[in-house]
Amino acid sequence: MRRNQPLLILAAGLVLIAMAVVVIFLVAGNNGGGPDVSKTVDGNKGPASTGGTLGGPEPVVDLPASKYIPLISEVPGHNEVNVSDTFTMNISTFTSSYWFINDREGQDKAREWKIVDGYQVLYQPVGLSAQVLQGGYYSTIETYLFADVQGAKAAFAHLSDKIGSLPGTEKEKPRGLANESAAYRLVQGTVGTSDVVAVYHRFLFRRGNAVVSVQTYGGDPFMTIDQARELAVMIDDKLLGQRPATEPTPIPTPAIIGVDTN
Amino acid sequence: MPRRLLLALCACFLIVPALAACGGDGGAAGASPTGTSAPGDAGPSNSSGSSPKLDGPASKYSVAITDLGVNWITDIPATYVLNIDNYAPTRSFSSAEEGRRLLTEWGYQSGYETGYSPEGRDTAVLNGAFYVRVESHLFANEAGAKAAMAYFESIIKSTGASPVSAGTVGNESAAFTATFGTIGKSKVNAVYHHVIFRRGNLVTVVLTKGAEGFMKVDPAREIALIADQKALGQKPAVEPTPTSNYTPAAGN
Repeated sequence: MRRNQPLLILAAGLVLIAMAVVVIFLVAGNNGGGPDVSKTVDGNKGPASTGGTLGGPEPVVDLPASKYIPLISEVPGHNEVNVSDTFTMNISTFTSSYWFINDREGQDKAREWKIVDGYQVLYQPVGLSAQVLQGGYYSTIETYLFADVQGAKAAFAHLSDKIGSLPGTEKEKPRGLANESAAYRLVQGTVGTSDVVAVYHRFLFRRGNAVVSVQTYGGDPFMTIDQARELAVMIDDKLLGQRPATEPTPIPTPAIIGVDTN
Repeated sequence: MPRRLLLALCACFLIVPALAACGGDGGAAGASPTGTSAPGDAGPSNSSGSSPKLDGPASKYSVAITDLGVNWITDIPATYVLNIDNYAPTRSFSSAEEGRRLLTEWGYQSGYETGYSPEGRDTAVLNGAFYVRVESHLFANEAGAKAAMAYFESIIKSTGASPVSAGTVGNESAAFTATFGTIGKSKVNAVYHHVIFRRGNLVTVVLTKGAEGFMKVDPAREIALIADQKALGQKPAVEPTPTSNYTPAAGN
């Protein structure tokens, strides 16, 4: 034991040195002293989303699909509508969408599922990517209505398989919602030119004849599936008649040449 | 047992001064209150002992739009040639008389200021782009440039800007940052970075404005390095085509 004493002392010294190195680096930060980054991303993930109705009725809800979308005043944060990515769907926009490998498949499925209406909105932070670095996020919300529940069931199964099979996509397991739901996460790139990792979350659900997709895009330090699920709960409450479902003002507002509203 | 602990602690304290000596190589604000970075800072540097006496006009040591790459727009109203008459009455000096006195004392030869906006302007800035302003001031000799640089640094500091560490540019340099206002209609803060450097009888000031979260001092320093390469003859120094006859005194 005494023969090993110098070794033990050396080992203890090395451990303390290692600890000192860690402490010095933590205290010294980037060793520049001055603030070379304008604001530190500290990350502040919100509480888990656990509300909403799991299971329950399977209604065939009325048109239009747009009235079940959350209004901008209902979406958290300082947002604006991205006009070019906000529109009422028609058969052409649906069949040529990301849901299908080609337009032919889209046409076949649209006929099989008997889609009757669709609406998409993109809410973006007013401060765009810079606001994303401070916890803001983009929300793409899609609502699809089918003639009956069977068509919606088949469409939901197709869409959840499609999203779940995207390379790099991970399945999330938040509390379920509505008649059926699924949640996914995809980490991809960074936010703008920053070093902050960007992440997509998508929450899908079906309520009766409606299939809904809510996708958020934000900075990984801030984002969980919960922001997307909270928006989904809002939509489900509208589909259930538990929350006012107001048809949004069409964007862009049509202009009729020659008519002066003043 | 106490002896073992003492030995271990000794080993610890021996390494602390060594790390502390290395830790300041970024030019910590506390160690360098003027913001002037110490030689040996991280990152590429043009810093050298060469202190040339450069000839005019000052505009040829500025940064051209082609030096920045694509997607930039020249800020024409912010582009002008400076001399004692039109520079002295600007807000850089407490009065026109004071400006004239100092510029004459420093042997002011000529100056040039220009600015560049990113295509997309505030929208692009909120996605990581930034605005640039570049000032180039040429003096009769190194002594005048040194005095002017000290004065310009004091003016920048008087705005409330904080020193920030950055690798040295030119014979001497300093860098500052400030947060002021917001970008466009957003609530995102606007962040400014200044890099000021002297090379011989030339003083150059680079200012960037971008969105909080995206901006560091690096873009301003990289632009300053381009100007320094021109002063050193490492990059062609071409007099730009005049773009404006704007008189700064009228707008400043």
